[in-house]
Parts: sequence; structure tokens; C-alpha cells
Amino acid sequence: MFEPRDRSHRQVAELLSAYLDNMVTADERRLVESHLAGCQACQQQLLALRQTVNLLRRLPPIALPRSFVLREADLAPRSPLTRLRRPFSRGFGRAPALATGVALVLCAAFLGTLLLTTRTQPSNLAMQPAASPVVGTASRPLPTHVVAPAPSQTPSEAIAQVPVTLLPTATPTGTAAEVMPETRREDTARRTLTVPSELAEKVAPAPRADELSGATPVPCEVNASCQVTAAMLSPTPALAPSTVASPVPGGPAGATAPQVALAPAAPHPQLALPTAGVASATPGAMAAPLPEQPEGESRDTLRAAGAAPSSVIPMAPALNAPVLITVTNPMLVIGPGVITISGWLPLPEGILVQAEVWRDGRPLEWAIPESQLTRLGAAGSFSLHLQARLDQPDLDLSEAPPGDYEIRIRSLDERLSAEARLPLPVSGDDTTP
Amino acid sequence: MDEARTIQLAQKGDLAAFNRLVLAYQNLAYNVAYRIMNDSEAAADACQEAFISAFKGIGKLRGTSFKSWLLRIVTNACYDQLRYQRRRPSASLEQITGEDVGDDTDHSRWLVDDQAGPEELTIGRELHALIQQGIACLPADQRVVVVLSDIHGLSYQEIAEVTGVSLGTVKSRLSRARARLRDYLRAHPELLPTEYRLI
Repeated sequence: MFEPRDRSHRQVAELLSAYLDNMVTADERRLVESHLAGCQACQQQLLALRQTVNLLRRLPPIALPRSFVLREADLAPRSPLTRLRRPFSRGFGRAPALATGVALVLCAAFLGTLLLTTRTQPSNLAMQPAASPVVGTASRPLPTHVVAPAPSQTPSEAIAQVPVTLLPTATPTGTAAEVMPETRREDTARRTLTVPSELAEKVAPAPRADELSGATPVPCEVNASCQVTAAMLSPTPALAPSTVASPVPGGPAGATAPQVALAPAAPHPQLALPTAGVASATPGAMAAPLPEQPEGESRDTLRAAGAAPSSVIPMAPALNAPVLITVTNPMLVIGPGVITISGWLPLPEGILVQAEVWRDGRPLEWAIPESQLTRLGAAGSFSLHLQARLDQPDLDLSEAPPGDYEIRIRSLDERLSAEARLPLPVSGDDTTP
Repeated sequence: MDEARTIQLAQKGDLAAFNRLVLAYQNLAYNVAYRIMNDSEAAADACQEAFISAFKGIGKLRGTSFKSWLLRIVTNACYDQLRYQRRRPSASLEQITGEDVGDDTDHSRWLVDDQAGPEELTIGRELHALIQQGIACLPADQRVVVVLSDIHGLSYQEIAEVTGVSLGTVKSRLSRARARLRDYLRAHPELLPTEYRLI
């Protein structure tokens, strides 16, 4: 190793670093250059320093392990110890709210199932077309495909719709579908919380989806003792939250039909975009577009989503086509080179999921690297960061060419093929709802 | 993003606006923290703490660039973490002292060049792990300066703002850091690419 032998030598050695960066004065430059001209050792030192700096500059950027977007909960006061060594997983901070949401969903699902099974003929629901609930908030009757498909649709178009927070109402049923006023939904939610839990024990098993229509069964349950299946066969793939009863045109007059409504939305305190989760149809798969369903109506309905994860699709043998599921309470933030999306999926904890950005039906090249897959947390919670590849760190989706963008989140578990799709706004303000 | 406008909104308590800044700077912040901490979890913790502190203190931001101001908070958070680790050596003595981490460092997986062939890949991973380990061996003040300068390309003036020291101190710390790294790499010539073996 080089050992400076005199003052000039040492002085120059100390200046070499700044000399490399052109951060020396004119006098220092003259000193360095005159010394270098006659000193091979210092020339070697300068070369070695330059190579060291070049190596440092070649270090590639490191992918984020997660997003550091702040939530209200992150700003709560914490003890000094916690401040220094907080848990790596951010999910714990939301545990209380999550538990409350799960409890609400459980209550709602119990009561929804109760109504479905007590106000219809559970022994032969397939012969009771009027009892088929239709997902949606339309103020007009919507066709049901569960047991009495409309002429334009076939049973195969029946939807594997994951129900979201079904709450019974005290409104007498048997009338045409109607939109429940927001205040009514809130009242309903409050009432629901007061229902004794022992009622759940009286809930009769709901008819299986395949018993109803022969469509691909998609068992959906909140827990082992309560299955919510009727809404799965709704013909409204784009609608998840509100579920209202709708008599089938031509059905028995005054037939009873359960009327269920979504729990009032609990919008995320921050950055929640109006791009609520959409369980859209997979071409040729189980889902089918809702005829005559206005776009705006769908979005309004979707906007009501988000109280809490509603149900969990249990592990089941692989299906031929992915089950289309809904992201509950999605939060989407778009930034240069990165999209952060979080929410809850109706899938079991621990399932590996991956998200991709699609445009006009094709995946974009900058889909997230495989290393950023994530496993679902408690109640299906997830937070994914769709980051541009390292060679495209400056990719700005807000300036992307026009097209139909969406985020597709799919499970990678071979036992359960499920996919959620969310429309992705790519123009305008990057995070404005 | 209009950064000045976004900062103004954040200074009024607009968390969404602040999160736009987070999105713009989180890669830089985390990468700086990771290079200083040489530990992904500790870096993430420091980074998260830094953003929380930044949000709470952004009202005091005046007359300096947000980038320098944020990086100062990030580096301070890293110092906090390093001090905490020193008080609790069971956490990872090797990572504190930067000695003999061996082959178990987990960062190399992030440093893989996807375009490299199998041989290049192996060399690249080892070399990058070596460089990262060399950085970890530096004293903290030198580490910060070399990370900001040679990995993230900050100017001397920016580094002086971030670290709160004079330009002369930046120069001398950087000079010593580079010299130490050079010597560290010299000790492992077999891992250096051919074109760098003159070191």
C-alpha cells in the first residue's frame, strides 16, 4: 500500500479525492497536477480512487421493501422504545380497526344468511325465483340469473360474486328493488350491532351455489359456521357492495325476498380513490356484464364499498377460471415509478398474491418484479408496491399514453385461482379522488 | 408534481400532499438509509421514522431544499438506530461494527443485474456485497458522506446541508472514506472485475 513519504506527497494524497470531483482551488489543482506529473505512485492512487468511485456509482438502486406512505395511525404518539424499533410490519397498527371491521362483517353475514334462509324456501330455493337476491343499488328491478335467467343470458353467465357485508333491514320485503337511503343503511348497521350473537346458531345452511343454478360453485364463507352463498350468483359482476332484493319479473306476486344492504361505507381516512375494487368479468369465464347497468350507478355503488373485509374464500380445488373477487377498502397512490395499493381481499391469510398493471387488456412491461409479491395478512389485508423495473426508475404513469388501465391482483396459490381488478386512473392529479 | 405547492399543502397538515412527497423521495430515502444501516429492516424503520418526523416538522422547513432537509432527517434517524443498536449489541454486533458479516447478508439479492449471465451474476453479487460491506466498515460520519456523494450523487454543498458540517469537513470525510474503501477493495482483488484490478 502506498505510504506518503513527504509533506507534499501527503498533501496531494489528501487532495486527490476533491481533485477527482473538481472541487479544488486553482492553487490546489496546480499543486496536484505538478506532483502527479512526476509521481507514479500518486498517479496510481488517483486511478485507484477513480475506480473506487466508479464502483460505488455502479451500485444499483435497492427496491423498496414496502411503501412509506403515512397513515393517520402512523402519526399517533408512541413510546421512545417503539419509536426506535417499531415492528417492521405495518399491519399491526391497524389491528384494532381491522378487528372491528371483521366483527361487523361477521354480524352482518350471520344476519344476511338468516334472512336469506328464513324468508325463502331453503329446501328448494331453485324453485323460488323471487327469492334470488340481486346485487346492486338499481332503483329498478334487475334480472336475476340465478334460477330464472333472462332470455339473453345463460346460466353459465351467472356470477361468482363475492358478497360484501350483507346487512338485513327491517323493511318488509316482497316489493321491487329499491335503493336504501343512506340514513337507513346507517340505522341498519347500528341495529345490526345489537342483534344477539346467539342468533347465528339458528342460521340454517344456505343453499349451495351449485344447487341454485349449476354455475361454478364458489363457496364463500365468513367463518366455519356461516356461509353466504346466494349473492354469489348475482348477474352483476361490477357491483359488490349493496345487495338488494329484486323480484324476478313475472314471479309470484308478493313473493318474499330478502332485502339486504351494504354496511355504510367507512372510507379510508386518506387517499382513497374512487376506484373501488371491481370484480369484473373474465372473458369467457363466470362473470358477465350487467345489462342496462349504467356506469355511474356502478361506480356509485362501488364507492360505498370499504367497510371491512366481508368474507373469505376458503381454499378449494383449483378452478378452471379465476374467481373474480373484490378489493375491500382499496387505497391507491400513484407516483413516479411506483403505484402503491392496499386493501383487503376475501382470501385466506398467507395466500401469495401478485399485482400487475394492465393496459387495454395486456400487462404492462413494468409489472412489479417478482420479488415484490406479498402474502396476505390478517383478514386478507395486503399492501403492494408496483414499482417500475430498475432500468425504468423514472417511469411516470401519470404521463402514460391513454388507454384502459387497471390493476390486476391475483392469487398465486394453485389451490385457489382468484383475481381482482381495479380501474386505474392514469391522467390528471395523481392522487386526487 | 409541483413540489413547492405540495410542500405548502403539507405544511398545512395535508397528509395526502405529504404522501406525494413520500412517493417522490421514498426510494432515495430508503436507499440512503439502507447503505448507511446495511440492514433492510433497520433501514425501513429509520426511513419510516424519518418520514413521520418530517411530516411533524415540515412546518419548520424554510429556505432549504426539501431533499436536503429530508435526507438530514433520514441520516439522523439512522444515527438514532445505530446508537440504539450499540446499546443493544445482541441485535447484531456484526452489522454495527461492519465486521465479518460473511455470506449471510441479504442485500445481495437486490443487487443482481438481471441481464448478467451466470458467471457475471455471481461476480456481481459478490462484488456488490463486498462494496456494501466496505461501506459498512466506515465510521458513520464517513459512511454518510460517501453514500450521499458517490452512490446518490449529491454535491458537496448538498452534503454539507444534509450533514450540517462545513464544505471542508465534507471534503476531508469523503477523502478518508474513499481511501478506506479503496484499501478495503484492494484486499479482495479476486472479486474485482478485470478492468478494476489495477486498484
